Amino acid sequence: MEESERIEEYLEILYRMELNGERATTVNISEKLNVSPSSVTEMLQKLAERGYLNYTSYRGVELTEKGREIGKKILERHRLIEEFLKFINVDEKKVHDLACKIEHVIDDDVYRGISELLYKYRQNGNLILLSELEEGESAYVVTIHGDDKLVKRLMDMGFVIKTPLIVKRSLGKRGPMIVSIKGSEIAIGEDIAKSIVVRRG
Amino acid sequence: MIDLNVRPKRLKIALIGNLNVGKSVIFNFLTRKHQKVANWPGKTVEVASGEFFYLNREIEIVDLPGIYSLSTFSPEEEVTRDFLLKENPDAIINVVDASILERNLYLTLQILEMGIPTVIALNQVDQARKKGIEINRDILENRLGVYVVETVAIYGKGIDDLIKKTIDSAEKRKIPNVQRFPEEIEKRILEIENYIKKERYSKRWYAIKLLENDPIIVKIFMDDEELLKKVKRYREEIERIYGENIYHIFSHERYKQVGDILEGVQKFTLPTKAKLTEVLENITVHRYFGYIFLVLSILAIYGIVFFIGSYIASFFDFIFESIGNWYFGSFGHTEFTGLLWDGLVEGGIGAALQIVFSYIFPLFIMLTILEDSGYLPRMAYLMDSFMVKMGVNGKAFLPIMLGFGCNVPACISCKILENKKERLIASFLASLVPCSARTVVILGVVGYFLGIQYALLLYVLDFIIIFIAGKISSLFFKEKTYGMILEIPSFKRPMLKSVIKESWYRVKSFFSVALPVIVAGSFIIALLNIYGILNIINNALEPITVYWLGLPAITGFLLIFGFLRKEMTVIMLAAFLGTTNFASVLTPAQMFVFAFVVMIYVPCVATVAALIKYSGWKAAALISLGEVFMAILLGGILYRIIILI
Repeated sequence: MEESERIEEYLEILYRMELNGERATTVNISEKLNVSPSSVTEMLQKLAERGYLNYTSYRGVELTEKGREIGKKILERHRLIEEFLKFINVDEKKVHDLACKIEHVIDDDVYRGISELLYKYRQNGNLILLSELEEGESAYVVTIHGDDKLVKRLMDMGFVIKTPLIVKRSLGKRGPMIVSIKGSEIAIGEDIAKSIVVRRG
Repeated sequence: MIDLNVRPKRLKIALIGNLNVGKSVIFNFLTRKHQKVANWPGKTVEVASGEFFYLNREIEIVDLPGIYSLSTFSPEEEVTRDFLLKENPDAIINVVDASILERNLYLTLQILEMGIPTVIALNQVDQARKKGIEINRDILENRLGVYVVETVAIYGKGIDDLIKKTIDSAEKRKIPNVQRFPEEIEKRILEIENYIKKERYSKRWYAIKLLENDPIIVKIFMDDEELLKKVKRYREEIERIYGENIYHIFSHERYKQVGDILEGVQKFTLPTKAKLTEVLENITVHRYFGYIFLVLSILAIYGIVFFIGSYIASFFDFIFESIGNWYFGSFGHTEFTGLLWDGLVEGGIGAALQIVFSYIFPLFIMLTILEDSGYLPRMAYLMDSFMVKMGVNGKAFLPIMLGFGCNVPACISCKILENKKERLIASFLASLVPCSARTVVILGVVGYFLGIQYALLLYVLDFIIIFIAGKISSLFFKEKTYGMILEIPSFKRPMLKSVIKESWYRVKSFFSVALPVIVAGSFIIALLNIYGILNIINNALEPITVYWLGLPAITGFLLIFGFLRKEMTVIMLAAFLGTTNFASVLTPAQMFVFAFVVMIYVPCVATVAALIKYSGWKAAALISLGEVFMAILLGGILYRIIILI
């Protein structure tokens, strides 16, 4: 792996840990990346020298603005590519590893191209985001995008794949909605509604 | 069924359930006295515990926070899990909302997996019937292997039976039925079970949690590398078979189990909802009428609170005046008696009592009514888009709204928000909301002498400042705003008894935060007053008060004093100026600027205490100093603008 790719890989994992509220210590990182703690330490020093992160004595390492931006970008690419690979029926088991490789080589144009393609496909396949449904429309949950915490929380509240739901109330295109699912009514913000993919019907 | 001839015995029972299912109502019903509400160590989550005697048993009952799952993704879930793991309860009462059985049983199944004797309180069966849902209790009991007791907690119906069956389950160690997963998962659970040495709860539960990759349970088995390796392999195998992440698989399968259990249990007929409930449900979340209803409700709430409050306050004034006359009549006017009276009795304890019983208690009653009726989450829903612009979600509307009454409960209520960033922003914004004390200053000085339109202008200015402050402070945080996910419960009629009880607990927690600081603070100020330090303060602050803000020098001391009690600044101002006709001594510009500065310059001492307790020293200092700076800066600019006009 080239050095630039390794840097991106580290920043992505650090950003992911930050999102999940995990402590980024050498041990934690080495477990996640499956490399030795000593090489993690070496790499972290390199990243710190280049201004991607700061060492804090008690919390492990912390991304700088610059590091966070790259980490976020790579993670977004990773998620999009995973979705794309699933869409073209790549073996589920390979999806993650492949995405890890591809995420480093595509640029913004490719990213935009893939995301537009997926968007068009979703519309044709009757797949849309929950946020696009109008008051009174019903649909089935297809999938949820977002960090583990969000996905888990929504699933606990009944947003499980194939579950039917009805948009009971909505405050217009850009705003929260009240969804009736599994016998209960749940208000969700616009951002949350955007992370839930549904099939009309 | 219960052995009545037992020697006195202790039993520990935990109450667990989703939000809004009536857990606390059952808890309050059982433990009339001896309740303790405390924060769980290291968490902002409150856990209430109480004791009662029943058939020669001493029962400790613990009301755990409302949760939707037994994983560990929220502090509430973590606290519940922690409790179950460490405190080892003899039995669990799982309270479920009979009208939302499917979603509620999802948590139930996770509880039953632990293998602790459990009884299900099928609560609000009356509401379910109104919704046209009839539940076959017998089938449910058979399938789950636990007692299911129909209850209507707000009327105390079924609670007696519930307790009897809970004692029975605990003493006979009635273990729930095992709900099986599909073969591919079940096989692996059994394999892991065989590797687990004796543990407190069912091995099956540990096996399931290990497969689910539950961080806390994985930690317990940290030393057993071989086991963890095996678990990891099995988990990956399952994920490969299903082509999904392990969370998805377990959530999906558990909901499938719920579906199987509910097969033939529920019979649906047409709902017989009351007309009023239906109208309310439509209006309160309506795109346009919803907002009109919201504004009217808030106006009504504060109208009632202030109306009642002013009566009770004048009653307190009368009492303390009479006692004061008697006190000085008997002991004479000396420095010492004055200090004791102004600093401790009237200024400290008296003031705290007066504020609490005149405004805080009525406000808490209104808040509890909002909560118990189910209107509060609807308010959050309506305000969500607006609050998101300030970096918080709709739930933060609660602290903002409470802030109009008193900033202390407002800052305490910020703990309902998901992350630290949102709690911090919400506390900051809530502490800028003009509370009842500041309203006194705004109305008493500006509204009375300059006209109500200028008082309203101050409010408008404040809202603009709050909005801008929210926008700016949200820029300082990297974390994303956590979007709103909030259950909207059906409307319920609040019960007077539980409303008063709940409000009283809130008052007690207010007292514990506010009373010590108010008393200590007024004592110090009374001391300063006696030793003539007043003038030194006034002189020292002159550059700010006189030159920058254009106010008379005595306001220096007033602003310091206002840190204790803002509403008193008006009375003190009158005392220092020797007249209540402020218009004769202050220019309109001075009155406006004075009220403006009092409105935003610093949260009062009780609010700061609440901030320290719930958000930490750093946040409290940052918010207080930031607001002082902001008030002085903006106050001076405002003064110059007014002069120009």
